[in-house]
Amino acid sequence: MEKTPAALRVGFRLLEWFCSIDHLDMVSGDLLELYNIRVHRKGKWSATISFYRECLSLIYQFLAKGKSEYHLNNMAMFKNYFLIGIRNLFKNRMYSLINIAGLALGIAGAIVIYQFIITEKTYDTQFSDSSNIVRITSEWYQDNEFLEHRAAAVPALEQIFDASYPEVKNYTRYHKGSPNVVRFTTSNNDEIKFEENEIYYADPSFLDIFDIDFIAGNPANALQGPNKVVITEGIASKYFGGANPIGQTLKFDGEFDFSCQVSGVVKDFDRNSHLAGNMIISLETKANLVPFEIYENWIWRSFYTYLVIDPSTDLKEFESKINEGVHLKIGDYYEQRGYKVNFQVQPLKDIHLHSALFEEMEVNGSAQTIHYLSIACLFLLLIAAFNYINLTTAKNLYRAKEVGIRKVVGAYQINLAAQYLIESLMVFGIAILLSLALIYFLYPIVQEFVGLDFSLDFLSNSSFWILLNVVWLTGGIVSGLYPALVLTTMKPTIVLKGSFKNSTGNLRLRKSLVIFQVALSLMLAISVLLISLQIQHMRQRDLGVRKENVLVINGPKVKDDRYLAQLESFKQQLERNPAVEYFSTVSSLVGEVTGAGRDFRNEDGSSQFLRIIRVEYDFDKVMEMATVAGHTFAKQLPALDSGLVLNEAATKQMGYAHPEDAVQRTITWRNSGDPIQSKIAGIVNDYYPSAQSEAVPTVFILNRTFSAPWDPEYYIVSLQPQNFNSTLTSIVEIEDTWKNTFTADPFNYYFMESFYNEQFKSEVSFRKILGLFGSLAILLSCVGILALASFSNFMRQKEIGLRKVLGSSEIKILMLLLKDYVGLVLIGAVIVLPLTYYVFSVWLSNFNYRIEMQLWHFLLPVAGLLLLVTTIISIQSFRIISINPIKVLGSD
Amino acid sequence: MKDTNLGGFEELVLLSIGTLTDDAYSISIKNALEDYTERAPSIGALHSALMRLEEKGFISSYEGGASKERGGRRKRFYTMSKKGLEALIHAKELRQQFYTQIPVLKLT
Repeated sequence: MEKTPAALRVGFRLLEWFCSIDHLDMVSGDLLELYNIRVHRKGKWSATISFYRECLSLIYQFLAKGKSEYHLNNMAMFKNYFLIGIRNLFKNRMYSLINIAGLALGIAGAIVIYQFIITEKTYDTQFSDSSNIVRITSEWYQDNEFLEHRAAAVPALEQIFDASYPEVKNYTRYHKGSPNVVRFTTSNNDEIKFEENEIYYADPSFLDIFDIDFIAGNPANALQGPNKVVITEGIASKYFGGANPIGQTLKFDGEFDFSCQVSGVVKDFDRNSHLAGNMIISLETKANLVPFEIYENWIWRSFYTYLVIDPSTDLKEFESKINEGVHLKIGDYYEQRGYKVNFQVQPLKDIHLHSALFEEMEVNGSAQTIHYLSIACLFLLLIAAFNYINLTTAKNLYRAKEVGIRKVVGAYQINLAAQYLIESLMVFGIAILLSLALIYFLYPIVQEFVGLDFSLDFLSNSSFWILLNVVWLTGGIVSGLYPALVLTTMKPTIVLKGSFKNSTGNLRLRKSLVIFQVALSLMLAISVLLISLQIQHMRQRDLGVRKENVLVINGPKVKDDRYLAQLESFKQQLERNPAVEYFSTVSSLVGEVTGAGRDFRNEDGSSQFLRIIRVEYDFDKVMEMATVAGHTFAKQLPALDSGLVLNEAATKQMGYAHPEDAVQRTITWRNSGDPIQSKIAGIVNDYYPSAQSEAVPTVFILNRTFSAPWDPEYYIVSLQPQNFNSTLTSIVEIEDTWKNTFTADPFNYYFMESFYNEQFKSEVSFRKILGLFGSLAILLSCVGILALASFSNFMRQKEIGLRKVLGSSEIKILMLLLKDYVGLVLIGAVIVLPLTYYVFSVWLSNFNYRIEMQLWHFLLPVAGLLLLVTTIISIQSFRIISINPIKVLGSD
Repeated sequence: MKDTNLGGFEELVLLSIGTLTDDAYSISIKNALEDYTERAPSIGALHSALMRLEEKGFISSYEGGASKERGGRRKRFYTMSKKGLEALIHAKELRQQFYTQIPVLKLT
């Protein structure tokens, strides 16, 4: 006999395992013969590959076929395991249903959290240079006091990166422009216009560093030279529909009036990138527009700066090298102006989860949330798996006799264990399939309810499937292992005599699993409660100003010399509307802390950097601010003489002990040109611009005197409190007024309160997702407790019967049964409460303005769970208790 | 599995068994099919067709001797049964009936 080639041995072994003995000889002969022919024709490699391919196809064809009664291989036994497994599932339909449904819910929940975590963790990994890109941020100090840490740096920083920085491979600036009205005139003179808020300016190298997919245009020169704009697909279809956008001209009206030629269309920016923007204009355009030299500017700190650096660079060293370089270049330029600036280097991938600086491009995620969610995800899987273990061990005790018989007819322990492992793998497999189906059909609802960015993209991700298989195998094996060990180590003589009932060790384990479930559920429930309370607390913070029923309209971007007249006319028309209380404009809304500020010099010569807000008359009336001293801007005075209005914090900062002292004092400051001397007209009360901030020292200046066209302006209108429908009608009326007055600008409105609430977005979605899974966890735990109760009650039927015969009342028996479970819940609570307290004292310490944890925050969920558990157990026990004792005792 | 319908691939396999007479075993059948149709069936598909044919009683089989190139493993030879021949003829007649109904073919 010729020796089998070594490369084929595995294949033959597989055939021996899986093919029926009837065909084995013939089939393996065929394969070998074919192999020999192919070796001649196509060579060894190709022949081996074909061999294995056919081998697998044969196994598939012959898997279970064959007439012989005698099997050489394990196929039949495996088949038998499956068969018994399926029979068992059907025999205990109720248990199986609870078991599989519980597992499936748990797994589905875990998958949803998993996909959320993955999306958050893969932010900014899609660029080919992702791991080498860093962002330079800047930390600013004024008079040695910390001012702000900005996500952006200054535009002139580029100058230091010369030949002495070999580690810097590429460099780009990205700068957010103010909102513009963008217009496109079609060939038949129709005008398409929208307000755009996501306009950015960038160096040509931007497209190189962030390799965003181009649909049209050439990335190499798309941002080369002035007046070029690269737009996203979304923008392209908004302005040009199906037509070719390349080479078309877009007009921009805003801080400057200019037009740009569309030089490229890119795919919409990936959602999982911190980069924002849908129109990218070449930076040269801006450089030509502003009246100073951008590239020489070391003060304008709103240029996001990205570098591609050599992977071997040490970030700390690089950081100090940059700061030294800046010093070499400009000496003590900053110090002369009272500043100290510290540039910092931040890896791109850390931005989304680890960076929350001033003026980030978008609200970033938080690593902490991801942390909590990963734990919640694990909890959910654990609860589901514990349910499975609990239910299975309980159920399988009925199968003790089966095990006994199998052992007597010669099964080894390993065979029996295989039987249980296969059953648990089966159940896990079915549950996983079911959970995928659940997600597939329910994800729109999850999306709606949780408000998460949830897509099915992860289904095409191979690492997801690998992880799913890992969960399946470990879950299946680990949770199958315990029942398998318990059952297979039983002695057949004892089991077959029928004396096997319930070992205490077994019960103890099941109880501790239930305690664990209860503890986890309680933790989740308390978390949801505390987070909700904190959000509520922040929402309802008394800010010192009114944010309810204040309509905000984005101010017009198209302004010319008629603007002031238009504003007056708009105001007069509004004041005729009975629904409108007051009208004004502001440059910063409640809910945002803007960075605009100026130096203000006192009469004694000391100067302070204070935040400024540009307003119109009546701003204090719209926002319901109280005048503490003096008066606010008076219409009867000429606008130039109307002076400044400070808030109390600013008064203190300027060194006045009492607000009254400050009134009519002179302050010297500079808006954009020569120093201006203004009188302090009055003092208004402080307010908190956001949920977490303290009162910010602020100077209010009259917009019509000191505004530049690019300063942001919001129209604010306070409305009479009225019902929803009449509010809507008023808005429509205001819209009409707007359209008549500002013909060139679109009407974009929202309410101040919803703008304010935007800042809690991440907390709200955290609560929602935790709420969803908290309720899932509680549901699963209840199912687990129910199953445990129904099983142990069944076991105690006779005991209950005897008790009744001996005269116990039904209530007493119910109390007896309840006692155990109440105990379990209490033990769970005792274990978990201190832990939760600790976790939340950490979480709450993130907030300056926060709730104090109180006893009822913890006791309420415990009481709720107790009530739930008692109800479930009582309903379940009622049936057993009300059985006539003769029925259960009769058979003995 | 007492279905006596003859599938397309099965018919081809049956035909090649008929032509190969004494030397019809899996590999030679595969080669014959490859020669005529220029498409090589996988050995698994072929075996499954052979098994179906045998279950339907269209072919019978016997074990032949061992050979060196098969590593000492035996071949299984197939011969067409009377029922198989009938099935082939039936299939051919069925087709013929249809052909006569196609107007384009009628004219020629």
